Amino acid sequence: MGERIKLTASDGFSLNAYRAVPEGKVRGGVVLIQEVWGLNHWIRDVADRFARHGYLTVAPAMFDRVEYGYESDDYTPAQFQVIGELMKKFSHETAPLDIDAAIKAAAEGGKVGITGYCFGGRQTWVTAARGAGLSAASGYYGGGVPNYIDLEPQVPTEMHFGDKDTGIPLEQVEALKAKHPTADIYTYDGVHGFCNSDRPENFNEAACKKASARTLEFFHKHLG
Amino acid sequence: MLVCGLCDAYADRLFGDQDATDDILAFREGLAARSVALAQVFGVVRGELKLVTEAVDVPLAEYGQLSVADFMVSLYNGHTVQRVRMVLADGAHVLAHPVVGEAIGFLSAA
Repeated sequence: MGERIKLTASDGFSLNAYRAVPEGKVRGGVVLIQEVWGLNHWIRDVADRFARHGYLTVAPAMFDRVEYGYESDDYTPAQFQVIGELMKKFSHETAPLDIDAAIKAAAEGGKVGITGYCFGGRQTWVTAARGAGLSAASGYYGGGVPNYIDLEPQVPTEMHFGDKDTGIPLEQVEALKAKHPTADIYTYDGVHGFCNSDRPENFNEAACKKASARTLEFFHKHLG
Repeated sequence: MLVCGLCDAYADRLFGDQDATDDILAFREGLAARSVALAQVFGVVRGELKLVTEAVDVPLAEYGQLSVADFMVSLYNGHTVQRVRMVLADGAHVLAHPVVGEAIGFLSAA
């Protein structure tokens, strides 16, 4: 459904992205931030899904400054070292430039919301704390909660976590909830990555449907 | 800590299952003399050695051996994972699980 495009960040860097456009009425724009596996099959599928629901969706390739074109459908531990090396070189300073380029592209659809999974969930919260011209943020199991718990969202924000996520202990989620009573923090019967349908060992269809329905409802309310 | 306590209690059970000596303290000292790991577990239970949870660096070459949870935690915490470590009398910090595992192995064979 979607297409591969290039975005240009404000510092001139050209990065890959995936853009999915609704066939009918466009309700708004969505920036979709990847997991650590790049613009792989699943993320492109998610972008297509948001487009089917009326949102012009742009997913930037967040690791292009480290390894241009990186993406993988290999979820086995064989990729862990590769991703570890990518993350070691990943710059939190330039990441906002790439996200902002995606927001600008998604704004063609109207008001823009941001969503993302795992690494993308973290970026969702961090970007919501910048405001960045967004109208809403809905993130999924953003890792490293203690590293962003003190950031205050500047836009309506919700987050979704699995209650059996051993990488994000429930007490961290509860701490996030307590610190940010105006954000909607939801937990579901699920492990980390409960919404990735390409990972059947983690995927919980019921939990993902519920969380995804909430995201859509949230975007309908704040984007259109 | 619970596992250390269970090891400690198991040593007492071993005493109860034997009749070579009726001096439980001497029996326990004898076990500790035969297993450094068990002696360290006894030390934890007595409060002489501490268990701490600390961030431990993970070399990139070992990433493929991480659990998914540890992989995630490491990505967002400067390539470190949380590990329970035992602080020894000389101040050294050692991973607690291998020590406890060795103590359990010793007790199982005793």
